[in-house]
Amino acid sequence: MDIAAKLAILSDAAKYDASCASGGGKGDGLKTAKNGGIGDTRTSGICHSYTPDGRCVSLLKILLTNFCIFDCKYCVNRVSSDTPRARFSVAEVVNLTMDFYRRNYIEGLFLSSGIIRNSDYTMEQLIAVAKSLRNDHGFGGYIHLKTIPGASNDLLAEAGLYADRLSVNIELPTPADISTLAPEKNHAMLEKNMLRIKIETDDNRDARKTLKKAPVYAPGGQSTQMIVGATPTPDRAILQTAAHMYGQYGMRRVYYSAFSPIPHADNRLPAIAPPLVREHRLYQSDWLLRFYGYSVDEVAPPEAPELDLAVDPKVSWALRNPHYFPLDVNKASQRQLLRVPGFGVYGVKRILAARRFGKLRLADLVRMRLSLSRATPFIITADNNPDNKLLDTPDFAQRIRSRIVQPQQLSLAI
Amino acid sequence: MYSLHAVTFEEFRAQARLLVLAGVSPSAVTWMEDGLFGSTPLPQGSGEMTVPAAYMSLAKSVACHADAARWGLLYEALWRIQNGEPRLLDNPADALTSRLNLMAKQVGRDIHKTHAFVRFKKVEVDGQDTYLAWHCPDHRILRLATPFFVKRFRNQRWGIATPQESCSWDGAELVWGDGFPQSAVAHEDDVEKLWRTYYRHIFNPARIKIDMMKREMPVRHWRTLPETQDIPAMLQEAEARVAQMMQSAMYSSDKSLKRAEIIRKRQNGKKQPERGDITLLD
Repeated sequence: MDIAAKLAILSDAAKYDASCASGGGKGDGLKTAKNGGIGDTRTSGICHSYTPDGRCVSLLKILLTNFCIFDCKYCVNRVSSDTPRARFSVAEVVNLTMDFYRRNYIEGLFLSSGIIRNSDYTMEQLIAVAKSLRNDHGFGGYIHLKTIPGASNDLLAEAGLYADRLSVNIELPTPADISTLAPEKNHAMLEKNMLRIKIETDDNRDARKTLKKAPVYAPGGQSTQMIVGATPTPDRAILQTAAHMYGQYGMRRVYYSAFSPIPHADNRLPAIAPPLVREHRLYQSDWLLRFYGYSVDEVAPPEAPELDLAVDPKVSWALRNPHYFPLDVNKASQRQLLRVPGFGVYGVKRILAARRFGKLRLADLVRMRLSLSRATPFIITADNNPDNKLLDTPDFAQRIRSRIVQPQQLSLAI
Repeated sequence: MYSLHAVTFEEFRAQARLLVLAGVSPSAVTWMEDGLFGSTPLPQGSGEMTVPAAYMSLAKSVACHADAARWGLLYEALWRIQNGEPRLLDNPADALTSRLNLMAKQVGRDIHKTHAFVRFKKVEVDGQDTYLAWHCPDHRILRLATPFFVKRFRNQRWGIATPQESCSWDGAELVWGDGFPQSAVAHEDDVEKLWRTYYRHIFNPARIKIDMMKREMPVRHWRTLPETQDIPAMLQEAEARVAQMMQSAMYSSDKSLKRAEIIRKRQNGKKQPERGDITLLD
């Protein structure tokens, strides 16, 4: 099988991994160049291309092989699937990465693999690719390695010396979901990898305080991914698992992947268009948890465990908590302003800066490029803002929703 | 009334300094795109002028913007900063500050897209591998964009041409030259074919978000992005591919199920696979 045929099979097999982060790596262009190598990483990543599914291409995202001895029902590469199989050699992946990188197609490599022989053997193969890139080619670009469930602690420790980011997918939001659809996996074994990566990261940080030249362990941190919509689990449980991942293991990112029909799928899975709007609402909620000071109980409370697909989760919260509004943009704190629908982190910073020069009116907010279409019912400005009277009407929730919901927002799904 | 012109930030800066020191108000200056009609002699003067660091970094970005109004706006900001509004740029609600911030943001985005969209083709020049690209930015940003490539590809020979100017790196030094109105690299690079293969196959036909793709990868850049020529075919085939996935979703072949069974038993230690049973294993 020639390289192009393998590449076709092994990128087809890799596309269900959503992670595309390529920033925050250990690469230092000047140091790399001094050692005769090539490559660099930056604080924030670069999306070199976009495919018609709206996802970015920042890394060469491939599997080393899609042969796999596991039988996870949601996975196109499970042992019982009829999908065509291929396997790259270590050198083939290394050369492809270098060839693409030199042409500025990519920021680096995201390498994963089906499980062949056993977990340790597979993990060793992945490490061999990263090691060859770093040691044989002086590669200073980004490397993301997927860690294999069940791999030994020694291998997890070694992987982080070559990789910028490590990950292991939690796959499904609850232990029950996992035992139904991935018989060889369970949350405990997946979280064991996460815990080990966290311990190595913490130890490495301490070691580098005294020994500045000690190599950095996976400076891009770890991430994980959950499939959404393959099981009936509600959004509240998904977000609770995400919060656990962030809190317990210091995850840099949790990715949500709308379950997408796969070729040769198991018949226990829904054959439906992927729930893209739901995935989008989960990402918005994830942002609220991490950057806006919301809790899971606020975003998806027990009495409303599913996210509202028609409006974003910040609007949903505001409509459930009208007593919090309206807020005076000339007086409210940063924390409060971050709760105004449509106001983002940077917009709020601009409001705080501009406030020191005078009272803000609606036109000032427009000039600062704040999005007002959702915000006006919830704010008080120095001039008259008739929209904020809406909150005093008995059917305010319905009226505000109908202003916000535009039919095309619901047509994201195919 | 002064009629002046500038191409680079340095040219603007030298003139603006003398104008401010001589007390020439913004309404008395017209900034031209080129020097065809000559420039008015500048007022001669000397003196100290300190400018906030925030102005310098903002102005360096805005100076690259394609908008012909840029010099006038930058001069107006400088004038106001020197005449009683030293904190002008700290107020994002000010109309001029807001406009300059937006222009700087557009320039920053253009630089970022240059880092993303430059596609090198490998050619041989004087017997050495050389990587060449032509890129069409929206603004005159090549000088702000090149440090990225120097840092990343220091040990590689490369050149980037844009309509405004071009530069090449020989491993030690950056050499600047004239712009090229269009690409002069008519060369097929074999790796480009692999890149297109990758692009076609990393695409998930079950999720189509064309607006998102076009927002982040504007169509005007597509002519220099080789992978985009496959987009029409990818979209055309998407529906059939998804339908086929749905159809094949109902079963696995007996062969695959048998393979799964054998491996399951082996994992459980009950039975070793016989030779030839599972040719697919490594």
